[in-house]
Amino acid sequence: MNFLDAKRIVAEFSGGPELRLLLALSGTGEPMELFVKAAAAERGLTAKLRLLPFNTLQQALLIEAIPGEREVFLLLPWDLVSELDWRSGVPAERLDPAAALESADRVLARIAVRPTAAIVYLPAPIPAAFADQPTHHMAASALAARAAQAGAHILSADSFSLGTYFASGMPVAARAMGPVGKAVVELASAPKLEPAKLLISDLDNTLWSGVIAEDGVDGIGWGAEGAGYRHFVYQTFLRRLKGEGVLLAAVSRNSPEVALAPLASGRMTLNENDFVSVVASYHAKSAQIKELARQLNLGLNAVVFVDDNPVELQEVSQLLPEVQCVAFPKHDDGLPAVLSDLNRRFGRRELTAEDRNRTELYRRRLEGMVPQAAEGADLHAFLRDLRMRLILHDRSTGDRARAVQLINKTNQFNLNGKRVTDEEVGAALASGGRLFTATLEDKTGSHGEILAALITGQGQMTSFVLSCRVFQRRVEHAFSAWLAEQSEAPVSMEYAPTERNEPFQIFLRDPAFGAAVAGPVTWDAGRYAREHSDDLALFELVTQVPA
Amino acid sequence: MESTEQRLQAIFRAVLELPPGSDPATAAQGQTATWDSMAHVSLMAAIEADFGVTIDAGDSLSLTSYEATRQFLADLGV
Repeated sequence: MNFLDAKRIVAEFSGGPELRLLLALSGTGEPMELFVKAAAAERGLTAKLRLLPFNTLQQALLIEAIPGEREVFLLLPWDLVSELDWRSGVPAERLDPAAALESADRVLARIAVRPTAAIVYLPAPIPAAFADQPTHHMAASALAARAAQAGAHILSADSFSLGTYFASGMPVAARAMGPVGKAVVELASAPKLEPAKLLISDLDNTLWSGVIAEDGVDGIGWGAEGAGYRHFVYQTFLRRLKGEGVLLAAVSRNSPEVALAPLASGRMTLNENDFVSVVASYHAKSAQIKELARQLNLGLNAVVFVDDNPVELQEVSQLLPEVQCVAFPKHDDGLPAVLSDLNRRFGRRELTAEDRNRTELYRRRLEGMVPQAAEGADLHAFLRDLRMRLILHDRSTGDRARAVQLINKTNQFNLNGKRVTDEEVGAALASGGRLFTATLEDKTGSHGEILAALITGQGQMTSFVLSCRVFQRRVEHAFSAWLAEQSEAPVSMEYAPTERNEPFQIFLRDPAFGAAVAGPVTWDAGRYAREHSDDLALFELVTQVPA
Repeated sequence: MESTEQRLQAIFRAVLELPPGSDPATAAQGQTATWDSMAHVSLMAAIEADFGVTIDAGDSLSLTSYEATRQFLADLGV
């Protein structure tokens, strides 16, 4: 999130419950204010932020907390050991490491007794104030370790910029203000963290790389190589948590037999028995998680949910704000921070024999699969913020290789599972048919060409597929609403149920469609367009389709 | 895609809360009432965040007008 993004988010936010917050740092905090407000707005909260006057952190620790105000202390090494402040230069005398750590302990003890305080620690480089390099490194590491022991959220060291600190007294690098603001709001809006007890993980592109319903057991990655590497490490981490009494569960938008296949294969680090439950359905993950916590008799604030998909995370955090949502990293380099964050959320774990058997105890408590009838969150506000752009292409002439590939590799959102050859598509087009595709872009970048639809000259849709990468973004509804308004809108769809196309079966439950039995399904295009105009409005539509 | 100039003007408008219709390109410390020391800190931070640059203390002191800031970014190849 850059400055202008943050400004826009705050300007467009219509308001929500107040989050009264003291952001306590010794340096200049004002530039952080906008980013904290934007991060709060993204969580539906109106931040009422208070900052300390410059260089008054130590004094503030001697004053009682204001009732009803959450406190987040953004600490740097020199807040723990004042002689380490770059702005004062390097101390004339070398520092005693033991005395430095005693100073750190005194500061952290003062924060620990404050009723609502949380700590964010920025392990900025420290000046060469100790006798030698080994002592220097030991002292820097020990300060971070002391902060971590006090429950601090540890930022990456590159969140600090000496240039910015010299220029303005602001210790947070401008590039890190968005993530730091987010961490501050997350800590301030969470209930005072009790150690979590249940980790619920997504499966596709989280527990393993790839999409099981598309790639099959042999096509996904979980081993210590290639695309599966970070998922392998994640699984080994979950295995350790489980061994220490943390309960594991999984939720996935899949059918149960498809989702369980890799876990039952016996080839992965984790297997089905490591989980108290694996919930697989196409219903909202918030509903699955809520029901699972109820059955396990756990409060929702004891639940950590890990998913790679920001839309799923938003859906859960919107409906279940008590659940701690963690994004699985999209790149290997993001893994250490995520595992460290998860480790922190599960706190210090004292091992007992019961801990080691806890999964089995809870498995016995659960009976059958979790019912998932509840509705998910209305994500329109979140989706609008993604600033999605749908580019519609007419592939009736020219290159159609990606469209044919998409039709032949997509299993879940697939009208009928029918595979087609390029020649067959060519013949349909030669007889007056039309082939449409769509490319999706949003503020994070391009998702590529993710949709294809083939309509015969007689107005029958014979192929309609959407990549599972962009589920939950209403793309299928927006495209269909657009198509419904075109002169070549299909009058029916050549539908067939398959073992894997449940997402399409759910799509067909829309009242604008006739009964979804195998064969031609009729479509009231006018009604569909009317009832899905709000989905269409989520997108900036770019049509590269001849009129 | 907005040009560097458009983005820079948007930042000046937003940080200095310039009235509609005013020209951000004429903004200068000492002449623009809202450009106080705290606004300067926010302005430097916003420019760093949006353009992915680092502004050292010495440079920060010399960036006292829109034109100087635009030239600074141009010198960095932004």
